[in-house]
Amino acid sequence: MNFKLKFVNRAKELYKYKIFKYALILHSFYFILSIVLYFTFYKEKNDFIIFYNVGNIFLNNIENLYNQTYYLWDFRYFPLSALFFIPFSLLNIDSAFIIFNIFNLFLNILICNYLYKVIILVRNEDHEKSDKRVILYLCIYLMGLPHVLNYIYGQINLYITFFIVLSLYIFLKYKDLKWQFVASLILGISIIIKPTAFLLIPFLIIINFNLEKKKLNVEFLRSLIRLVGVLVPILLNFILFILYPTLWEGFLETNFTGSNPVALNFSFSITKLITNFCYFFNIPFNQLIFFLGGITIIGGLGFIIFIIRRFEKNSLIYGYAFGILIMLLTYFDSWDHHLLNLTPILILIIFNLPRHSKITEPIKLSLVFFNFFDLALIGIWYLIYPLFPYNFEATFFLILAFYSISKYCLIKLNQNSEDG
Amino acid sequence: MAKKLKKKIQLFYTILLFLLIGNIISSVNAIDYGIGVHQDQEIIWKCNVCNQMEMDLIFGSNWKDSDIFKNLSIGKRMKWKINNVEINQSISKISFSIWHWTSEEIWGTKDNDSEIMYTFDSMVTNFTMYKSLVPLWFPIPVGEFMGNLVLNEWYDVDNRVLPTLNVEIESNAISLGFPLKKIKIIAIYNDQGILNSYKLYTTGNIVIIDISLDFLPIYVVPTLIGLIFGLSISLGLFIYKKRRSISK
Repeated sequence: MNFKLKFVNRAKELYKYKIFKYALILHSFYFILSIVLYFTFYKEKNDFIIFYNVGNIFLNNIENLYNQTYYLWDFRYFPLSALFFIPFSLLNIDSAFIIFNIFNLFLNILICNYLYKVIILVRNEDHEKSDKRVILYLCIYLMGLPHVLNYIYGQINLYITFFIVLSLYIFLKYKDLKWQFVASLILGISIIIKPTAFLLIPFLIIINFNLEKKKLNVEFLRSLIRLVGVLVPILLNFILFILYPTLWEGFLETNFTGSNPVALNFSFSITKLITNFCYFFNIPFNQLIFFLGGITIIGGLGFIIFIIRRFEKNSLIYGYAFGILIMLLTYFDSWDHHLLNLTPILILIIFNLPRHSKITEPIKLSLVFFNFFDLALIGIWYLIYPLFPYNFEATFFLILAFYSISKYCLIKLNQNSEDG
Repeated sequence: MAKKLKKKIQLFYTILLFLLIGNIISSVNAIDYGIGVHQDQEIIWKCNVCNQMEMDLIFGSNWKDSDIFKNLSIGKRMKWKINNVEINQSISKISFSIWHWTSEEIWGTKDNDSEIMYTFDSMVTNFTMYKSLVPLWFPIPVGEFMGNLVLNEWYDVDNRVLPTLNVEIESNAISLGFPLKKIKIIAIYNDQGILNSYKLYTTGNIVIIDISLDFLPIYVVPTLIGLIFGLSISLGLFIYKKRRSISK
């Protein structure tokens, strides 16, 4: 059976599900709405403008890649990320935006496909064997409101999500070293495009401390292969940094010397909540110190919990969840559309946990909030920021998810199967 | 075979149509700037922080002798009353009366008249004529207008969330000994184009001037109360549901 026929048959099969029809209609509406809103309101204020310019500057004026006067907003990703945008930069910006979003739409189909495959791989034995519930959750992902902002801004989060889910699929499906290397290479590519998955790197190390036996287990070779794989694409950027020293200076200046106080925004990271507080009450602050402090405390806590987890099977899913949660909780700008990187991982956890686990409830709650309510609270933030500039609700649900996953990692093995 | 070809042609035309619509919409969608304030509107700012000693040190002792910092000190208020607004294809202008910074409750007679004008033909702008180094008013949509301004390297426009002008000026950058220390300014504007918040920072990210609009939109307090109420109810219901499921 060829691919096209397979695809059509599967689509017909899915179309029998009512929820799939709704998801399809809603997602198509998001897509069309984003194009209409782009041309009516967001044409001058759009992340895609930056990506579009990056491609042009990389081709024609690479030394100025981090010269922020060329951009509407700061370009701060690795220089090789520009390669992804060169094809779009060759078109007229409006056509490029539409094609870019058609690409995003296509990526969503691929994400759902691989998410489905990973769910089937990691689904706990006591879950229903039919596809119905899996399709329901995939539809919930497709109906998620963060897609609206992602499409409108011409954002690249779906590339990251795709690479994250694909790498996870390969990691879990193929255990031999060759494929472990390929999976980590894919993850490395995602970090080049946007470093959302950067804090996920430590969780690739296969390390476990058995609390009962007081024994540390490290799979050295596999861990090394994974680390090399993920770091190779990142290190390729250093060829450009060596060839063009101004790029290195610009990259550092844009990303790491940001010690200036910054104005209010609705980011839900803990770092941003603290800096908003300091800004509001005129408390002297250095946002870089808060960021590094946050990574040390929350990241350190997450990594320690991951090391002393009481189970091994499919633990990488939880490592991925920790990595993304730590990034969202600590990075300065954690916005609604970044949640598209997290929600698929939460869906995987729901299926990996025992069907009636108590831990599933808070994860589900967080998923529903991120998918359907967070955007509304951004709107509310605009109404209340003169008096209360804190978008703390999503932070609460991120902490709730972090706590639930930590709890699952720490409870004893026999309880894991009973209580989850 | 013919069916396949037909489908491919359909797909080709759909994509072409999308691109065409995009280009048509984009070609007719030039920004029309407007004025967010209206005639007879009163705008009042209050000063929350004013470190006079530090300001004397950085800008010299005459920093508050004229312009919008005139008589500035903590707790004082300044008022503008818009007398006239003018906008056409090439310019945007407001004329207004000023009541300089005062602690008096009753405003009395105005201290001065002034105007601000922007030309749309050239977006190259310099704000050093203002002692605050940023203007107190912009045309609307303010984010788009600021985004199109051509400013020197001291200025960075951040119009992603709130229309914000970030300014960073090294010591001696304006003239010798002016400013004496490196300064940073964060100026946030509201959707009417009016300066909503102005913070001037010195070494160590310490605020030495904090000016804000003395006006809270009517919806802020009810929305905040509604949010707190809604969240409390949700939390209460969640705890109640949990307790019930445990007792069962």
